[in-house]
Amino acid sequence: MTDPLDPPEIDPTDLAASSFIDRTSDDRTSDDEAYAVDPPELADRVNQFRALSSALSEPVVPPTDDVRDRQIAHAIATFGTLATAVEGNVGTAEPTSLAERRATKSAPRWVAVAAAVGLIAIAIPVLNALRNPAGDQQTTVMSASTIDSGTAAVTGVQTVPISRTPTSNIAAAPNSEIVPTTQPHPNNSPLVAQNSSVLGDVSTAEELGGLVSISMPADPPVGDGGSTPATSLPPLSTASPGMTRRATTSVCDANVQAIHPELGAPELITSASIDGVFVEVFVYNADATTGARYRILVVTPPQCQIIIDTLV
Amino acid sequence: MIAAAQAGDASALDALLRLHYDRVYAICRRMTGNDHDALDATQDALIALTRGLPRYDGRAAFSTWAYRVATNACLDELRRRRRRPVPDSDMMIDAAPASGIPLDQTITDRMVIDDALATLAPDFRAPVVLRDVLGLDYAEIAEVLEIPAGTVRSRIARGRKALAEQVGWNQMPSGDVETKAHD
Repeated sequence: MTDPLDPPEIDPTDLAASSFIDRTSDDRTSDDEAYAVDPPELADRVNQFRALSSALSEPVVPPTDDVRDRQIAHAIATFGTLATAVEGNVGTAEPTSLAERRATKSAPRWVAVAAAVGLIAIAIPVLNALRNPAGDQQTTVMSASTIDSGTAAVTGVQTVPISRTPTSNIAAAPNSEIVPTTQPHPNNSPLVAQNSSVLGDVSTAEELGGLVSISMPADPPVGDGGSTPATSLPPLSTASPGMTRRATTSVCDANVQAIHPELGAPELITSASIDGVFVEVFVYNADATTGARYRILVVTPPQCQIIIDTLV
Repeated sequence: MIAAAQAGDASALDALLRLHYDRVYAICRRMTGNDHDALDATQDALIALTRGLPRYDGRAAFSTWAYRVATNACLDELRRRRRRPVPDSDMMIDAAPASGIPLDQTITDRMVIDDALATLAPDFRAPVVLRDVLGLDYAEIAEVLEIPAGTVRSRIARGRKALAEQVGWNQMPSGDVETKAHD
């Protein structure tokens, strides 16, 4: 077989016909015109190539506006990640290869993710139990907890505020273990306050389970906005001196909202690195008709593919 | 707009991507031969454009750079799939062309064109698509594909010859131009 990069002698008729139709009329000389129509074989070839060219130039039907918007939003979400990385002086992010990105879709890893989501789900009542009754600001503490559960190792479960904070407000965090943020909530709804003295020390599923057993009995009904069992828990602590304030942008927030606009703003966005796979977890108040309290979506940046959609 | 996007202005990036979206998709649609793969390749191209934006240095026109990124995304997609595209049902014509319709109208049937394009090796398909879908001239195609203009000229001619054979205009051997060479 001939190397396509070093083609053999090309038929001069084909080359002449192809070149002829690609010239603008201004470029053509009288010789060109005569040559193109004189030998019948060449004239036929010109007509064939011209017809092919015309057919290929027929407009391609573009995707719907919705698809276009979603794809662009996805790309821009990737841009947000890049901007954050650069601002954090992490270095220039190289594009992830197609193979690497698609490799993250391998099923076995989702098993670990699914197992981790169970833990995240049972952690939510704990978060609610620690809800800040003031409600005008949110204090969210990123915990460096490591939760081992069978096949899943949830490392660095982080709760992040629901905000679209400009990256210019982001400061590097010298202590990556516990990073508090204080952000007004866009919906003015009560927000999660997580006490680092409680969850920050959790290192095993058993410890987390212990906390759940304390807080679950007072679990309030959906949307009642009422009491929480916070009084039975240690007093809420605010950011410790010396902690660095930081906001973490969500890669998939825009995509998830584009896919599920009916869900509105999430109650909570959580990110985690699970068995080497970075995921974002979006927690919404569930539709009252479902009988569940929360709807949880787990997505995988940068594709923002929803891998888990569950009610708890 | 480009500078603003490079500086981190998301709205500028949004506008930039919207400006080039249709042409990027057109490249991908013709290169991959079906809507599904075209969307995948387009998404990859948009992400590559976004992530590569900080390194865009302005030496080439942005459109040229964008088409290069899109073409490479499509070639990646083709290499990954390594299969002939399956024509989409929505690309089928409603009825067979009536007798007496000129050949040049018959071949506007998109399925025929897509099938014919699918027989071309990507090295030949890309210049044909850039020429006939985007209307780039040989010099621009050479810049996009980073090959000499003379090579562009010969590959387009050979590609068209192979396409003509695919739509049944003659039975001349097309040799290495066909896609089986890279499968």
